[in-house]
Amino acid sequence: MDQVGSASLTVLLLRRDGRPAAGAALRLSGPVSRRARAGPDGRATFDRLPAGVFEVATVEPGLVHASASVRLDQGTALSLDLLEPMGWTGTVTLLDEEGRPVPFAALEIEQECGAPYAVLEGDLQVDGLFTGPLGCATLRELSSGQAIVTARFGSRVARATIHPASPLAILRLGVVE
Amino acid sequence: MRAVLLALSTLLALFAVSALLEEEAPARGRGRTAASLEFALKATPTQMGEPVAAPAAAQPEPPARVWSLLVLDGQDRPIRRAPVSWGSDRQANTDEEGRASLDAPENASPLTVTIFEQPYTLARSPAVVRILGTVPVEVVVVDATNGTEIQGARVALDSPSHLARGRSSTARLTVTPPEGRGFQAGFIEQRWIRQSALAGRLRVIVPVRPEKLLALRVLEPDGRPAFGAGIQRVVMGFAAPRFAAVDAEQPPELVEPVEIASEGGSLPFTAATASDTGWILLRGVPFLPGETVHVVVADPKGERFSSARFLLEEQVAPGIVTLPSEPLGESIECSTCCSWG
Repeated sequence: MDQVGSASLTVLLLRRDGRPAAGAALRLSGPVSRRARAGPDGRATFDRLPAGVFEVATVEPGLVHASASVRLDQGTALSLDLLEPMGWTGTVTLLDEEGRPVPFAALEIEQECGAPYAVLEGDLQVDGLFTGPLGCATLRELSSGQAIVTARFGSRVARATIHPASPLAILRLGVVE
Repeated sequence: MRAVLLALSTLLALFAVSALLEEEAPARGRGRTAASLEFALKATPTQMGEPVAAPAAAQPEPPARVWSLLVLDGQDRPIRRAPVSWGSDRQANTDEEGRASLDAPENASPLTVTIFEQPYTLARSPAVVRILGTVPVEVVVVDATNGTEIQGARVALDSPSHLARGRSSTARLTVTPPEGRGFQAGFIEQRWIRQSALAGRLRVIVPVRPEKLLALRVLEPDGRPAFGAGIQRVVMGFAAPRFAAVDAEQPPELVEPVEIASEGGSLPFTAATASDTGWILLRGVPFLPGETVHVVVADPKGERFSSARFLLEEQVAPGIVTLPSEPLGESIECSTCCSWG
């Protein structure tokens, strides 16, 4: 049963360019777990919270994962600004068994933070993540932590893990690392 | 059938009750009989154990009113195939112009409709509903071998033309590349789209693969063409939505498959048989470079089997397969019996 208290937390979620992240999903975890979406002004309020330490994090596809930890006491009302951090960029190259680049293999990205990955170019979301004609793909705005890249081409699969310290990977079809 | 049984059981019950009541009628009078009959009808169960409702008194249908609705997005673009629901169980989809006609009782005014899980109240007809917070879906068809956009491709989106922001949805796309270009026809893709609430537009990229022509010559053990031999099955490592084989008199010179097909005519691959020169053409195979296609052939009696393996590359060499002299059975492992032209 959800604990009910008298504390509240208001989060102002901003994109890197300072615009409010309107509609973005937030997850609150701690003594209780909640989910909310930022309003048009980028604010989301969690109320009737019990005292304790909470973590608030973004889980919006296309938004680089941001999180913060706060302590709430009974009856307090805290405000918190959460700014989208810089993401990191990874590059993968997909080769077949004979070392030839494989174009237009479908890619799936699984981020360590659990936030879904999506490609946003300004106002445009691009659905369909593939390797390019030369078998390469550049993955921008990855959230902190490692990312597992899975490439599928026909019936064959390749998988590799990239992380900020080692952002390049060569995937070979048929080989799952 | 069920309705007929119900009607029959009701009639039987009617006759039975009516007969009983007729026997009592002289003592009770006709008026009482009619009332009892009505009661019996309400209470009589059917053989299936379902009560039969009393025939409702003829009530006039409430007058219906047709509401005209136009559904637009925040920039006044029509939302096509948007699901609209109203009343207890009424549903419709907007047409290609974003319009829908909703029939509702005359007294259902104002009419509340639900579009993309949000309620809207219509006060009059015709009505315009502007739905903010939706994202139009734009589909771009590209050549899977080089990434260039295929001009002239037609795309049918069998789901709404817009998605609600921040919600995930399945988009079912049917892509028809321009004819005569050697691409897969009727390519259907079902895509799960995770829509970001931060996006104002959504572009779905669909890579379409060119078709390849596979040429196969079937020979008898002594080298003669195996006239009448047919394709028993085609094993591909990937989904092949549609392909067909053609009979041909001469081996192809690795030209565009469509040109070959227009000369030879197409047949379902199961019906294709080797010509008197032994050649069979299999066209419409989606091109996934590096993938392997196994083609199993059988003699006209379906007793002797053999197979050929094609590696899909820019240029696919014709294959030659020789039938065994003795029946080997239907189970055949392609990896052990491939031959190359």
